[in-house]
Amino acid sequence: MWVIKGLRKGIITTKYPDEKPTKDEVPEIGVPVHRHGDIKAARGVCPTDAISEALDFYKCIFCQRCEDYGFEMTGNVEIAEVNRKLPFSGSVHIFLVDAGSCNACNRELDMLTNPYYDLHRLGFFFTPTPRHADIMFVIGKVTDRMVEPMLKAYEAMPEPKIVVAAGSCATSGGIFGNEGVDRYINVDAKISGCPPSPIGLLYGLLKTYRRR
Amino acid sequence: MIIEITESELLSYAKNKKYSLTACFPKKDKEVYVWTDYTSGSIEFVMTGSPDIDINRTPSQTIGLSGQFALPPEANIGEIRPVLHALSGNYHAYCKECPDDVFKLHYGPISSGLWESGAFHILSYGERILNVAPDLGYKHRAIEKKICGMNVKDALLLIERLCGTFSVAYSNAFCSAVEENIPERAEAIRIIALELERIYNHIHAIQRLATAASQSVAASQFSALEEDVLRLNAKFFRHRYLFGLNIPGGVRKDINTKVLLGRIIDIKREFDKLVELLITSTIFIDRLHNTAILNVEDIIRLDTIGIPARASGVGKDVRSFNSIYTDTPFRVAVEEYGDALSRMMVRITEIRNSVEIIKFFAENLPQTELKTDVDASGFLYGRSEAPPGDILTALEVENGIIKWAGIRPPSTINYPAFAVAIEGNIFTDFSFGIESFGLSFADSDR
Repeated sequence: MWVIKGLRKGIITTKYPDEKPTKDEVPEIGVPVHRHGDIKAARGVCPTDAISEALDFYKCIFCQRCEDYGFEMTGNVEIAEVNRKLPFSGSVHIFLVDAGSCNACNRELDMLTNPYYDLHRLGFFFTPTPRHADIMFVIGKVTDRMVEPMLKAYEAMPEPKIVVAAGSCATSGGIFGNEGVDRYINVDAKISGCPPSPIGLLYGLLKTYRRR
Repeated sequence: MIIEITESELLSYAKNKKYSLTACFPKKDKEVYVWTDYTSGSIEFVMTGSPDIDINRTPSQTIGLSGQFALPPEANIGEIRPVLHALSGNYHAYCKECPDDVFKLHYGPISSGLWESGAFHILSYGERILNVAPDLGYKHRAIEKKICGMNVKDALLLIERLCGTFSVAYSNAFCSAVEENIPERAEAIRIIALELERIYNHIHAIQRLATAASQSVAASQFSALEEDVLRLNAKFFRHRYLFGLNIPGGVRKDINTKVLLGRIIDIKREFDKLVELLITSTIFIDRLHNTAILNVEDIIRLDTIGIPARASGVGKDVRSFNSIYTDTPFRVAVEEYGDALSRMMVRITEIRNSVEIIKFFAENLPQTELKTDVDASGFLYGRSEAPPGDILTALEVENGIIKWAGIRPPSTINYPAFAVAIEGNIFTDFSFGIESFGLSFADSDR
C-alpha cells in the first residue's frame, strides 16, 4: 500500500541547484535590505548590532524590527561565505555537532533529508562518526559543556577538516553575544540565517565544493 | 503573590495529592515552589529556605525505580516528589543492588544522526534496560539569567530562541505574563499559530516513530507533510518556525485566513490518508504496543504533564483553563493504556482537534486592533501548552525591566517520566520510547 501511495504522490523534489528556487521554497523573510530612511534609527533597534555601514548577514537574526525604519525583507536566503573549499566532490559526508542550538537549526537539517529537498541526490550524506566526516557542521551558540566534545570531534576528523558554521548563533554569536564558533576552531564556511532555510543550507553546502 | 511558608508546611503541600509540583526556581537564597491543581487550574507560588534534598539518603526510593513502595514516615520532599531532583538539576542514575556485571553506558552528548546534543546514563543487563537517567545541561545557555535586566521586548527574542520548535508556546506564555489585555484578533491569531506549531511538531514525532521502525516510505511521506506545514507557516506568518510573530501587546502582522483555511484542509485530508495507512500497518503497531508503559500511579507520583499524562488517562492540559478556548471545538484528548501507541494516538487526535480549532478561529476572526501598549509591573506568570506539555513562565518586572525570571520547560519534568517508562524494556525499544515523548534537550536545558 505504501508503495502505491508513494508512486501516486509523484515527484515533489525541488529542482533547486539547476533552477532558481520557487516562491514556495523560500520564506518571505530573507536578508533585509536598506531601502530608505534613517539608518541610525534602525541601528538603535537592532538587537545584535548587525547594522553598520553594510548589513552583517551573519549577525542578523531576522527579527523584522528594522522593517519600520526603511529596511525591506527580501526573499533572498542564498547567503554564504566560503574561505576554503573541499578539494574533491561527489560523496561528501557531514558530521553534525550541535553546540547548543535552539533545535530549529537541527530541524531544518532534518528537513533537508525529506523528499522536497533530498540532500542525497546531491551527494551529501550525514555520518554518525567524525572519523568518516569531510565536513563538520556546527550549529548553535557554543555552551560551556559542549566545548570539549566539539574539540574532540574536530581532532578525530581526517584531513581536510572543513568546518561549516550555520545560523547566526554559530557564525557570530547572534542573539547570545559576540562569540561564534570561530573562537574555538577555525571556521571555513559560514551560512546565514536564523535558522538557515533548507535552500540556504543547500546553497552553502554546494558552495563548499563546486558551482556557486 | 509568593507566599512565604515553613518547611513543614511545604511537606503538607507535597503530601496533598491534589497538587502537582510544577516548578522549583531558585530566588536569591530561597526556593520558589509552584503547585498547580490541574482540576481547577489554580496555581500557588510558595517560598521557603532550601530544604535538605539529600539525594543519596535512600537511593532505592528515589527517582528512577518504578513500582510501588512505602515511603518512610520521615520522608523528605525529594522522596515524596521525586521530580524535584530533575527540577533542581540533581539527577543521577541508580541501580538498586548494582551487580558488577551491569553494563554502564554514557550515551552522548554527540550522538548519531540528526539528534540533539544531550546524553543518557544507561544501566543495562543484557538487552534489558535497568535504569536510565538523562544527563541534562549540555546545552545550558542560561537564558533565565540573561533576560534579567533586559526590557520585555528584547527578552522576548531570547525566549523565542529557547526552543525554536516550541517558539510560539514560549512567547505566548511570556507575553501572557507581561500583558493584561490584548485585542481579540491578536489573541485569535496567536491561537492559530500555536495550533500550527502543535501540528508540525506532532507530525514530526510520528515521522520519527516511523523512522525508528524503518518504515521509510511512511517516514518520507510524513516528513513531506511536515514540510508542507512549515511552508504554510512561512507563507502566512513569514517565518518557518514562527519567530517574530508575537510582540508584547499583540502580534506583528495580520493574516489572510481564507487562503489559510483552504491550505489547512488540504493538509488535514493528506494527513488522514497517511494515518489510515499507518495504523493499519501491523508491523509498525506491534513495535509501539506495550512499549514504555506509564500507568496512572506513575503519572501522579512523577507529576508528569502533557502528552504522556494524557495518554495514561490524566487529562492535564492548561488550554482548558484559558477562557478563549471555551465554546471552541477544543477537547482534551485522552487515551487509557499509556504505552507508545497511546501517545501516538493522542497526537493524532490532537492534530485533528487543532485543525478544528484553527478552522473555528479562522472563520470567526474578530475585527479589532492588533497591538496595544504594555505596562507590566510586579510578580507575573504565564502558562501555555507546548506540544509535549505545558510551559510556565514566572517573572518579576519593574517598569518594563525584568528583575527575576523562572522558566519551567515541559521536557524537564517529562524526562524523569521517560526514564521510568523505559525501564525493563529492551535496547531496541529505546528510540520508540524517546520519540513517543517528543522531548527536546534544547527545551529542558534552557
